[in-house]
Amino acid sequence: MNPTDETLSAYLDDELDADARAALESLLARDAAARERLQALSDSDARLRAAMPLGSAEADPLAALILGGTASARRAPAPVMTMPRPALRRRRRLASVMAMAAGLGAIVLGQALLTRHDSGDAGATAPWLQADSGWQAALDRQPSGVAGATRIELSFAAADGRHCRLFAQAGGEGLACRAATDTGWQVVAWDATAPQAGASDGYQPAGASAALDSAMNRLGGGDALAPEQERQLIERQWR
Amino acid sequence: MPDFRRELVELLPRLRRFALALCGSPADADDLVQASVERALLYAAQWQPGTRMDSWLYKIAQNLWRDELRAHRRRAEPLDEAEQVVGEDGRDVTLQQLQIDEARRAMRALPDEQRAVLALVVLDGLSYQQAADVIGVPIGTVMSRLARARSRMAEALGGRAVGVGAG
Repeated sequence: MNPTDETLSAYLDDELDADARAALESLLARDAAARERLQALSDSDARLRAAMPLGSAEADPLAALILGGTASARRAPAPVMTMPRPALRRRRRLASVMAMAAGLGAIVLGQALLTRHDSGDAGATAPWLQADSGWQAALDRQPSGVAGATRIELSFAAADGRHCRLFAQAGGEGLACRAATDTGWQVVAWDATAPQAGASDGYQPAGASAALDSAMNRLGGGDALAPEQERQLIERQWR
Repeated sequence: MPDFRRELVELLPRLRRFALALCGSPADADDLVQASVERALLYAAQWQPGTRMDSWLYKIAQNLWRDELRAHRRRAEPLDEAEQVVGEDGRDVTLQQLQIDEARRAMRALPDEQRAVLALVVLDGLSYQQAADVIGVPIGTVMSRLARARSRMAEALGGRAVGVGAG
């Protein structure tokens, strides 16, 4: 049975309860048409967000009026704001793309994307089904943005204290987490249909899959870790 | 109430985006933002510190639009200003700008109540409960409006190349 747009829409917003989410995810795993529909809805969300960017608070013509132009008002710390979920997700992605671009240059980035584009062979299996645990080693030791059989796209700390990494390899894109006390990485989301390249411009930023978006939303937490923070965690073996 | 004012300023970008999504035209959005800020300052004492100011402010804007300003909307504007500037010189029309225009047109074509939920949930990341509180409808209504809005957006934008000169 096809999921309704209402269900898919609630999934994108992380508004399904655990049972409904699990039911939908198992349906998505075997129903290509449902996956396509989910991706279409998610793509149009992304188009809308890109078309409606946020301006700056300081430059807003009403800002000075509201503050009355007092110096003390301007020096005071900014209020603590709740970062809306999509904004958090986008900042995470941006941080990861920036870290990649800054640390490794456009050539490596290009290669990584190319690898990803060519790797869509149907025989590839989900990482936890593979005998070879190379993906575990990559999650342990590989910095974000380095090309390889497994490419780590970004790392972040989840709201529950675990560290999570978004990764891509032949066959799809996944999200794995581990707590300091865990012995290995647990794959919390896997999308075998993660698009290998965008339709419009041949480039799809990291984490463009709707299923992974939803999983990242559920995990909460902060922005992508800076390369230096990530390096220290790798040295400490994520403990 | 310096904290109140600072938080209000921090919310201006999101309020502007919400207003533009709701009204469709930048001129109407400017009017709505100004009126909302005036009203927020006037009723500042009614805002409870520690509660979400964004929802409170959106509710003010949403009610102002629905009850007072919508009737006077400037319907004459076929395109918003940014689109017109870009459209005047064909050589400067980038693919990116065309995609932005197309998405904005698709949103403007939606009924008011669908634009409001798209703005609150998809653009701003509010939960369904928060969006339901702002608009003053049950959560199920938010859910169904969102699904219809997304369906129409996907239909309008879906998978095809951007048509130059379309619309």
